[in-house]
Amino acid sequence: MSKKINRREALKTIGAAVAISATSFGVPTLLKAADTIKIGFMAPLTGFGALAAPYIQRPFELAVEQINAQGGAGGRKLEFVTEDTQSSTKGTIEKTRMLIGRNKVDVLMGLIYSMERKAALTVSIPNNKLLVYPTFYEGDECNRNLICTGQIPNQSIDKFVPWLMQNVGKTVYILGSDYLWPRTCTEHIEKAVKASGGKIVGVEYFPFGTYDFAPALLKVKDVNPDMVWTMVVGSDTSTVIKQYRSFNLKPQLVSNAVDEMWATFMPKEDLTGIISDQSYFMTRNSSANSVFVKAYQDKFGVENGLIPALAEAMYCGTWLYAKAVAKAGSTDNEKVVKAISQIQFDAPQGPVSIMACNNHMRTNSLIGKTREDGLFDILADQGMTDPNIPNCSL
Amino acid sequence: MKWNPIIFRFKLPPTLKQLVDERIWLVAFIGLAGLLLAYPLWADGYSLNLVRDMLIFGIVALSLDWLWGKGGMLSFGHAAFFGIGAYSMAITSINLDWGFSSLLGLFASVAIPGIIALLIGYFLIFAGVRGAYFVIVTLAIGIVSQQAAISWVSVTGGDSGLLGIPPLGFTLGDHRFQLDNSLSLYYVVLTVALLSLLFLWQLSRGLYGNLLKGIENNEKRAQSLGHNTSLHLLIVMISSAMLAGLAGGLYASCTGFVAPDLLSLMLSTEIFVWVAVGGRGTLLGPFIGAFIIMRLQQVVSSISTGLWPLVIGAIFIIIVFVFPDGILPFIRKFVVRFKLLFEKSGVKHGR
Repeated sequence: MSKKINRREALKTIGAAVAISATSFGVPTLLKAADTIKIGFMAPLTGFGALAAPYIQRPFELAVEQINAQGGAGGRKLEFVTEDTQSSTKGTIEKTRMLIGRNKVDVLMGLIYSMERKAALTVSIPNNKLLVYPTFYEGDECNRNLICTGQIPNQSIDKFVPWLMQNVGKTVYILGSDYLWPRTCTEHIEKAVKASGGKIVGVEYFPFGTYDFAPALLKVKDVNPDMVWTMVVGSDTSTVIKQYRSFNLKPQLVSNAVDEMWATFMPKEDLTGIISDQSYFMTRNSSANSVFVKAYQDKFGVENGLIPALAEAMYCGTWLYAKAVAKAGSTDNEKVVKAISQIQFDAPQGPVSIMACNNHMRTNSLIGKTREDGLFDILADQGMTDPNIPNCSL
Repeated sequence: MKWNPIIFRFKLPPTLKQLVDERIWLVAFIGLAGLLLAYPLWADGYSLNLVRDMLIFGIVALSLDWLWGKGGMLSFGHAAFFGIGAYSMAITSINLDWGFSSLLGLFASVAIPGIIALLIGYFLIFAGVRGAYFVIVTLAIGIVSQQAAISWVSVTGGDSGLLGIPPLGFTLGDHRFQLDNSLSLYYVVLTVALLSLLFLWQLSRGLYGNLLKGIENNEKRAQSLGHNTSLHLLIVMISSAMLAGLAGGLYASCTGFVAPDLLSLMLSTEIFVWVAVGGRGTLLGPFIGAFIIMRLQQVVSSISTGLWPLVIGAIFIIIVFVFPDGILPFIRKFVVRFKLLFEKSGVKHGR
C-alpha cells in the first residue's frame, strides 16, 4: 500500500467535498429563486371542462417555450406549475390557495368558466396576486389584480350588429342558454340593434340540458326573422343547431360564440354557413398569424392544431405578461400592472394592448362564416375595439 | 343525573361488540380531537384553511351518515341541502344591512334547508317512499336545486354565483366583533364539528339509536310495536338537512363565495364516497373518509393533472376490496377478533 488513509486526510477530503457541493448546489438554488418567474397555471383538466382545457393549456405552453427561447422575461426564465380545477369552484379555490400558499407563484394564469374566475379571485385578490384570464365573458370585472384578454360583449357586438344590419337584415330572434353571459349579451344586442334601426322580434332562454327546441323553432318559423342569433352553449349547442337544420329554417344563423372548436363535437355540415364574430380566426391572413399557426402545429401536431379565439387569447395574455415584467423589471403586482398598459404585442389577431382603465385587452372584431371544413371564411376584419366597462376606472 | 330524557337513557346491557365499538370510538375521537385542537400550534395559514374546509365537508358527510347510516335512507342529492344552506347564508348576509345579518344568515342556513326537508320529506316519507325510490327522488332534488341556482339570476347571481359574503360576526353600537382570521374560524368550525359529532353519537347509542336500528332492520315490525316510524325518519331527515345546511353556511362565510356547483350531483357523489370509505353508520368514519379522500385527491391531482381520476378510481376499488364496510368498521373487526382471542373468559357476551 503506497498511500495510507488517515483520519485527518479523510476529514479534509470530506470537508472539501462538502464545501464544493455547498457552492455548486446551494448557491445556484439561491440564485435560482430570484432568477425565474413562477407561473401558476390552472385549467379545468377534468370534469365538464376537460374538452376545452387543452385549448388554453397548449397555447400557454407554446408561449412559455417561445418566451424562454428568447431569454425569458427581462432575463428571467419562466417556469410553471399546472393544476386542475376539476371544473368546480371547490377545486378552484383549493388549487388557488395551494399555488399561492405552498408553491408561492408570482402570477396566476388560465381558467375558462366564469365561476372558476370568481372562485379564484376570492383567494387571489386578498393575497394580492395577479390573474391573467383568457375567456370571452360577460365583462363585468373591474379589478387591478385581473387582466382579461378575451372579448367582452361590447367588443363582439358593437361592430358586428351594424354589419349584420347592412348585410343580412333588420330583424333578430335570440336563442340563448339560461345564464348570465347570454343575458348580458342580449342587453348589448338590443341596444346595438335599436341604434342601427333594426328590431328584436323574440328572445328565448333555455335551461342547460334542453333536448327539445321544437316549440321555440316553430315560433321562429312563424315570425320568420332575418336572422337567428344563438348563444346556446355547451353540448346543447349541437342539439339546437341540428334541430334548426332539420326544421330547414331559412333565417341566417349568427352568433358571437361559434368558433373552430365546435367542429370537433358536431357535424360540420350543420355548422356550415353560420356567421360569427370572434377576436381571432385561425384563417386570418397576416404574417404574425401564419408564424403562430406554424409554430403551434409544429409543437402539437396538425391533429391537435385547431386554434380557437380562446387559445389565441391565452397566448396573448402570457406574452403580454412577460413583456410587462420585462418593462417593469420586477414581478411586483403594482409595477407589472402599471407596465402592462404601456406595451403592445404583435399578436396573431393584430397588435393588442391592455386598456389601463379596466385591465381588459383591446381585441379585434373579426366576422367569419363557417366553411365546410369547420374553419372560417373571414368576411370582415374590423380592427381593434376598446373594451367598455361602465363605471370602471382603475 | 336529573335531566334524563328517554332518548339519552342507556337501557340494555352492552354487548362485547358494543363495548369494543364504544371504546375504539372514544379513543379515536379523543385522539383526533386532541390532534385537531393542537394543530394550529405548528400549522401555517394555508394548511389551517385546508383542514378547516375538510372539517366543513366532514360535517356534511356526518349529516349524510346520520341519514343513511342511522336512518337507513340514502340521499343522493345531499349537496342540495349543503348548497341551499350556503346560498341562504350568502343571500341573507349580503342583502341585509344590519349588525347581526351574518348571524341571521347562519340561522337561515340551518332553518331553510330544514323547512325544505320538512316539505319534501313529509310527502316522501309519509307516502312510503323508501329505498331506491328515495335515492332517485333525492337525486332529482339535487338537479332541480342546481338548475334553480343557475337560472334565478337576480337572486342567486346565476352561473357565476355570489361574491362578497361578510365574515361571521356582529356589530353592536360602535363595537364590531368579526371572525375574519384563519385561527378563529378554524376553532369555530372545529367546535361545531366536535359538538355535532358528540351529540349525534350520544343520541344514537341511547334508546333512540335502538329505535332507528329497529326501523332500519324491519320497519313493519317497529310499526307494529307502536312506533310512528315515518315521523322518526322525517325527524332524522330534517336534522340531517339542517346540519348539512349549517356546514353550507359556514363554508359560505369562510370562503366568501357561493356558486351553483355547491349543489351539484358531483359534490353529492363525493359526499357519498366519503361516508362509504370512512364507514357507514360510524359517525366518526365520514370525517376520516372526507380527510383521506380529499387529501388524496389534492396530492394525486398535483402529481398527475390529467390521470388523477383514474388513480383515485383505482384506489376506490382497492378500498372496497380491502375494507368493504369502510375503514373504521375494518379496524373494529380487527380489534374484536383480537379481544376474543385473548379474553375468551371474562366478559359475558350475547344475550
